[in-house]
Amino acid sequence: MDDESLIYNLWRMRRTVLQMCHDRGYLVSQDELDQTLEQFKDTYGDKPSENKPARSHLNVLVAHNDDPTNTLVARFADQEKIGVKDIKEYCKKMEDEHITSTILIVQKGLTPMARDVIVNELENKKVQFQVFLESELLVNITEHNLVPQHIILTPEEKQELLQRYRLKESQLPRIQSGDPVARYFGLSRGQVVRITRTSETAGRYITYRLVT
Amino acid sequence: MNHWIYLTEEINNDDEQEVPGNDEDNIDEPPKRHFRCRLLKTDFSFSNVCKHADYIHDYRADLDNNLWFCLTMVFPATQPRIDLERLIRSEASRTSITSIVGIQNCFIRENKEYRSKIKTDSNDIEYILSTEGENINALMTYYQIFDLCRIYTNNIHRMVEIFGIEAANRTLIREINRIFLDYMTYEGVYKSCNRFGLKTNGSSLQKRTFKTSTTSLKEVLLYDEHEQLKSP
Repeated sequence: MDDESLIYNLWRMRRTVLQMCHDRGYLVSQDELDQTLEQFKDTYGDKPSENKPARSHLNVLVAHNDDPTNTLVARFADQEKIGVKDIKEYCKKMEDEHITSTILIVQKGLTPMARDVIVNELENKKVQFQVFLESELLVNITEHNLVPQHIILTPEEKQELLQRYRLKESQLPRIQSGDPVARYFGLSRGQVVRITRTSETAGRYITYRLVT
Repeated sequence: MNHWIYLTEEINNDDEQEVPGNDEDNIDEPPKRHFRCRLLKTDFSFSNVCKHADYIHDYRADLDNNLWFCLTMVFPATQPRIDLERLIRSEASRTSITSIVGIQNCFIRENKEYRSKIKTDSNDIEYILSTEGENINALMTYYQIFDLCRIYTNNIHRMVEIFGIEAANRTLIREINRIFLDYMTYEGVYKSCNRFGLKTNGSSLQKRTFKTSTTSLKEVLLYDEHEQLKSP
């Protein structure tokens, strides 16, 4: 891939990541969200083949709007394939810097061993570690015409919803935690999203889904 | 005396279609014809090209950028004239320039709905690329060309994988609207979309492809029905 298309891809990926952070409720400045390709090139350089910028220069660190101790870091991996060693390193960095969630953006994928490490080690700790492929972030899927607006409910809102309709959790429609939209919002099991669909007959139709 | 024909091929990134240029037929100069075509990634070295046929006399090419090549073919004057232009046209139409795994064929058509919305500028036309087969991930890399916010496939599994369960929900509604609704009300009565609904279908072969094939086959044999190979 030549420099021009690579820098374009990097810019698109970073933009999607920033939008993702914003949609999850993290503090991202409007300037950064609106960053054009030209501004991106001015800030980071335009020769990715000579490590200007290297992928790791694009890392994003943001804090949550409501709780500044809740921090998220998005790391762009320089290596093509991520192994166990790299994952351990990232976890250590997380602990040292007291970061609660990490998004790792990998170029080609993880080794199966590394995948196991993520599942086993991180289950016990109270941290979030998500892995995205670069190709998944070229396009912000929530901008697609057929993807309706998803809003995450707070635990209080969820209780209110269940009480109002006299529902049990299990009676709600479900969404898998591996669903692309659920991954975009970093949803975890037990959360509920409010989905506002446009409907031909009803104009707007609101439904809820429980993350499983 | 020898008959000379020069063929010049130029690459043009915006234009993949073959466009015949101006013919400069002159008595003194050999006739030149210009063709624009994207070069395929094949071995275009001198020796490889020359060994294809005896009549290839000379060959020069831009091997660095693959931007052009010039082929000189020599035929005896006694030989009947070959219509090279038509030959190349027919060859070019059968040659695939680029391909994407999973997509067998594609068509470009104008989006009539888009045009009717904005009537001010007649040059403002939107095109739709329809494909046989699907590979959304590969198409995602052509961000400059496509409006990726409206990319769509009727493969619901792929829609779940890429855009999530809600997008699949919309896809289902759209597909049922598009196909099954017409099918189920085709005969003026509401019929279900199962083997009972299919009973009134004219095609015995279609009936047999969906459940209770022996019953259907038996009926066809008993009543001596014919298969027209036509769907409604």
